[in-house]
Amino acid sequence: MASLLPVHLPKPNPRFPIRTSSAATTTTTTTESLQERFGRKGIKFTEAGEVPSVELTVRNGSSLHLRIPDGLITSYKPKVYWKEDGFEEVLYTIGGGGPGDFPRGGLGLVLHDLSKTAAGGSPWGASEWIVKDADSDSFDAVQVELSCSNGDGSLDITYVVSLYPLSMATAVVVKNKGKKPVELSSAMLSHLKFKNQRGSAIHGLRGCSYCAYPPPSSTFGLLSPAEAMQPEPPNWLSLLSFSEDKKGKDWTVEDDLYTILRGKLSRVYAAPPAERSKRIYNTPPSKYTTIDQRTGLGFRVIRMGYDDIYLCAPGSLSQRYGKGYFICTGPASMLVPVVVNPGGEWRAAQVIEHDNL
Amino acid sequence: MGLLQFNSPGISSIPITSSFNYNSKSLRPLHLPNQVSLERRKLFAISTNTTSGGSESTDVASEEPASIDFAFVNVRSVPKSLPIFLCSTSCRRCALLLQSKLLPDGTPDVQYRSACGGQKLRDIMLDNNIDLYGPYDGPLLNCSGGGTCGTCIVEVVEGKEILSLRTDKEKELLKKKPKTWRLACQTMVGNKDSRGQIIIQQLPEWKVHEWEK
Repeated sequence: MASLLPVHLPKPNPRFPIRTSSAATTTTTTTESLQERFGRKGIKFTEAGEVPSVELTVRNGSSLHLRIPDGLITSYKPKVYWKEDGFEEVLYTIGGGGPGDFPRGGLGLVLHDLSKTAAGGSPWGASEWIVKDADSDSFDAVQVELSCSNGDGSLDITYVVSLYPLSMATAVVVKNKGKKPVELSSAMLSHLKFKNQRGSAIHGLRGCSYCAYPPPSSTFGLLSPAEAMQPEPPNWLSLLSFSEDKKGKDWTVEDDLYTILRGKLSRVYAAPPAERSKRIYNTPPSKYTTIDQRTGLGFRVIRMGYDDIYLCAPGSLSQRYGKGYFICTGPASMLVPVVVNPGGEWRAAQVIEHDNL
Repeated sequence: MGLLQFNSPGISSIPITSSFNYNSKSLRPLHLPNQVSLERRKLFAISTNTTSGGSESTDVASEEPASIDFAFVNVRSVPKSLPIFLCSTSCRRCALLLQSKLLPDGTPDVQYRSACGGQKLRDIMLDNNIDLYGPYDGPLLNCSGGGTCGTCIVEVVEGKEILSLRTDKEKELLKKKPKTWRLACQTMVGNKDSRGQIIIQQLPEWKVHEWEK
């Protein structure tokens, strides 16, 4: 039947499955079958521009939007004000509107297997996700579990996304089913939204040592590693030198109670790898809070299982991406690879919660 | 499937105090601050040659300058313990400061520090950015080390032999409290060349689990 249709087909419209190409039809049935198998109260499988995705909602109205194939959370809107429609979008995402338009930003998991290199010479990264399970208690907790496996089945990776009234959690569990130990480098990067550049800061990193470091490369990151490390073009701000990163891999200890995010920076807050071989070393904080002076909202990011905290602020580069300001932050284990032995398991998670209510 | 047992006490709105009796066999036997082995994946082998119980290892510590290891266990502000993983993760023992609250998945939120002896516990905690005062952490909300306000309470889980004994001020202010509770501004931690490990529970009035003896 496809051969009878004219060559110049209009772009297939998922609303009219008869005319669409077979790929879109499969997507529609996949969404329906997903809804049938895994749909619960608070978990709804939909399609966002031909890409299957799932919408999680809890009783107080907080919602979360997760794209299934790439495991990217494109929207998290918790209830932050007591008024009727008091939801505020926490994540900064661009794109993803129409088919073929790949969204960037949001919240995503970066997981690279450093012991195995993919075709292009770069390490294998977890990228194709399918829904494994879903659970909800129909009031205040919903959860979706995605799974991914690498080519030869030696790694079993599960990504659990949960939504609660005042928080949301993303967790990763990696099981090594192969015969050799694997080395992983991982991060959970969230692009958090701020009203504007001037009133954004982070509280809770004082006393932790940091050094300038590029972000892990990912498909959804707004700033590429090279862009993140470029110094800000000199202007009057740099004369005031807000949070300027020293060149090179020098480790400094954060002195300020509030880390101002006005200038451009890309850092990892962690215990220096050289320290980790000592018997005891200062651990980085397990949580930190973002402060947005304009909206008055703060969100706490909790790190579990990860060793480092990655923080990046685009400075004036944010104007390239649209209105408003954003930062890219999250727990990571990128300085020192995580070793998972055969038969072993590694778990790590991030929780974003707030007490703005 | 074992997605995250939603019927587990963590998820429903049970008050946190009842649901949590953290089994101390996960937290108690304080092995030498084998900090790295306490976490699940170990990258660098730490040479500790002590096995159990002992608080000092002269072999390991002899090359380093004398210092005391601290594990501070924190209290978090979220009342619920949320099931984050498929099943609860195994405990993370920490040698020094224990924050009294737990991380969302039920493991204790620990911070490790190292400090020289011969100082007050309050100074060690404040210098190392450990939350001592909690809600009383403001300009006029505490007595800044005077021993009169009683807001710098900590609980000593392990290592009390290194600390000085309770002073009269403490005995007065902490009359009705458990014997393991101390005022950090009155507690002197050993002397300049002490070695050992101490586990401190921050803000014990807000803690959600019990340390079994």
